[in-house]
Amino acid sequence: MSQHPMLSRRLILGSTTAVTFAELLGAEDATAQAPRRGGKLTIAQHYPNFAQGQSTQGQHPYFWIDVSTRSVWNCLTWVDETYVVRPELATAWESDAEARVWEFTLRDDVVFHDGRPMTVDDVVTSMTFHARGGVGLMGRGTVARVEAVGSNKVRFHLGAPNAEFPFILSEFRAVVLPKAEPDRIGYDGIGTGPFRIASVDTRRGARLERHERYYDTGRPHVDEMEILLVNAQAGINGFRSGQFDVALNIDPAAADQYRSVPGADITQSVAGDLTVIVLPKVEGSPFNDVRVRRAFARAIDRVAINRIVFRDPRGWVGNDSHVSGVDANFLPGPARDVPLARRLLAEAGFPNGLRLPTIYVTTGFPEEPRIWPIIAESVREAGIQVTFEERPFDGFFPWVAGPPLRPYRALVGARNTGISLLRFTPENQEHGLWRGEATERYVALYRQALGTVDPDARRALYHEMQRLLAEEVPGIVAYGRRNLLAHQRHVHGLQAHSQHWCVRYEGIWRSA
Amino acid sequence: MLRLALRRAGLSAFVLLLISVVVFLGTEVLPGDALTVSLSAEDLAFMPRAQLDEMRAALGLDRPVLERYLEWIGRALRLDFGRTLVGRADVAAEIAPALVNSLLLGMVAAVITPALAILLGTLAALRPGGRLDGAISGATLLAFSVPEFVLGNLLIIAFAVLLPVFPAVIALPADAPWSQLVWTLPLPVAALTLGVVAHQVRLLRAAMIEALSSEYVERAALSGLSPWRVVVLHALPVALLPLLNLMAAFVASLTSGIVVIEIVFRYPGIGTELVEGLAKREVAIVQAIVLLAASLVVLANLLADLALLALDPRARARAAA
Repeated sequence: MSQHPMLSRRLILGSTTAVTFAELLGAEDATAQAPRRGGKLTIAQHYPNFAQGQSTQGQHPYFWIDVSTRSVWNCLTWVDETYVVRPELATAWESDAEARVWEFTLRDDVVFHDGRPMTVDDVVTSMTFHARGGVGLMGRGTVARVEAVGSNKVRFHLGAPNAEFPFILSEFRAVVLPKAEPDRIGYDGIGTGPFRIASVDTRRGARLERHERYYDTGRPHVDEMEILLVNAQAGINGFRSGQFDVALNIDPAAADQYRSVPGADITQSVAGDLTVIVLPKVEGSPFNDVRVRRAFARAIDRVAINRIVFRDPRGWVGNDSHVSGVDANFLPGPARDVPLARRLLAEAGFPNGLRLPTIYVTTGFPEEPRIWPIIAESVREAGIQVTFEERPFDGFFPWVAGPPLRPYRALVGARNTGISLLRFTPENQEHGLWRGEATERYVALYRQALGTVDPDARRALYHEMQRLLAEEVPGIVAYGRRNLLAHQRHVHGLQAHSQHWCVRYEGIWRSA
Repeated sequence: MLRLALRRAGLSAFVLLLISVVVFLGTEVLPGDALTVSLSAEDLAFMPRAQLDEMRAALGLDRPVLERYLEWIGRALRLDFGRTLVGRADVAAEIAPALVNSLLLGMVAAVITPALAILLGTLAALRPGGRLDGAISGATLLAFSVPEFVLGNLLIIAFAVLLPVFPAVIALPADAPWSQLVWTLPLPVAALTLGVVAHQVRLLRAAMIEALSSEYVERAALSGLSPWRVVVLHALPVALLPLLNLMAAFVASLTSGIVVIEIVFRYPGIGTELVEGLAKREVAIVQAIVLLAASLVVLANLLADLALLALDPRARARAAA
């Protein structure tokens, strides 16, 4: 029976069939062609819980745009798809022998969207703002002082040595902004990036236009970019109709539907976001007992999550640290062990099983609602009962992380080892008040590792820290995803990135 | 007649009052209050009483229910629906652009629906059992049976994917001018109205067949009037009366349909706001939208009642009795 190429039962019913993500890695088909200039790129951004990146959620009015795309602002550095730190607004950098003082040389051809050249003062003001809280910078206490060195260098004096400091400057929060008073900086929406903001509807989308004086001459290739926040249904409908050129953060279960669009390509990053369950160690909490925490961690069936939700049996199962599975410093953790989990619970005084406090979640990605029931079912085999309750994104973080601390889900972007292992230190919320000798040892190891310039020696320390986390389980890194995006046949130069905010849109072009 | 109209208006006001009580109690008091809506039972047990009391007081929930209701309804009558829990934004200002957009969608649907229903219902009734009647009846049965969200997606597949005439997804911002928004309306309006049109066609067809076989229409035909004058001037007005009775149901169905259709097409309207408000537990937004929607339905019902009283002497007689 002949069938219309685009009209099928799958198309109408939106059914999904199994797909191996390894097979979805699309090859770029136009690398040999010269990029064509012009046209508009329409991007669908999926967020199921009413726009995780809505501007009201960040202190920055245009926060979500650069979480979605590196398009309006630039940082001093950038992390490529293989976790190598690269120059962006800085051309080079060096540190002293201790890795405590860092100097970054700036590009001299950078112009803001309003036509004003970027100066060293803009960079110093921006970085000082970020270091003092501002929009936020990983490792808030990291930077003690920022100063200008001549007209094209910036010097950072760190509070403690940090051999991976250039990674911190690649954070989406560490953007360079036009110099302004601390209470107004960043509120004009002006950056140095390849696109400038034409209009924004903070709850529905934004329209961006080419920055004609972008420092990377000849780029961006497209004239205009429109980003729309959509639900899953609208995303696939718009993609099928050709209205969307690109769909970001697509649901793995919908990958087949995107793939059914003639010529469409799906690309997948090597790693992606991680989901952490924060376990509060407060008075009366069962999570005060390390045996309960370990039992919970060992009982989760991560392989089942990969198989059922991500359809990738070889997907990452993690080690209950924030270190990404593709990071060279990653140390594989212990496998699922239900009998061990039962034994640990019995030793902790729960031979007949245990009911854990409700864990509050807010959905960041389309597949997430399907993951929590798998976790609940799998730990039940070890005698652990747990309920996951969804909460809206608005106000979620202050609500769960404020007193009294609740068990909650936190979303973490995949990053380099230094930033990843910071997460369970007292500098961050996700440790859930993990205290004691082991914590002190962890913090000491962390300081030592960041002060170790030799990568091999640093790796050995990172491994020790990961072993410690596997024993202590201050929090549970429940699963990790590989970011998926779909694009039409005529879109070239687009590659999924483990860090959403590092996808570079200036290199994208349309062949039609 | 005036007394009857005033009585109906009074009754509608009473119904609105009851609705406002239900909306207020439903979202604020049962099974807890605005605070407990956003906290689980376990969390409530977990949090110290003093902290809960403090949070409740900050939201003004420590005052008696009646006092809070009177304040709420008093403000609502001035179209002041309070502020959102998160962000403390003015609810009326938040929902106003979406409300205006939904009104546009609803008004276009409200004009098209009866026009199509009258045309198709009349055509079908002219030759009951004929080919045209069969085709219209079959099509209306199908359209009536398909849920709106399925219809919406089918229309997208047909007219945005296979035949790319209309956008599958509405990309305009919430404050887009009507001159832009109107070009995105054909598919949402079609998805919204087809089911309702089908229902009305079937009702009108039955009423029309009855009217056309009545003695007075037969007499009008025998008096030498042209067939179309007989149909339009004598049979149709009588056949339309049952439709007037269904005015409130029609407006209610449009209102609920708008919620579904706006989500399917990403239309920047009140339905999207309502779903978002529910997900965010924004009680004030939900209260405002539900109250406005209910008021619209009650108002439509009142207008239909008044029209019926004006047009149908039998209805006047029944009401007077």
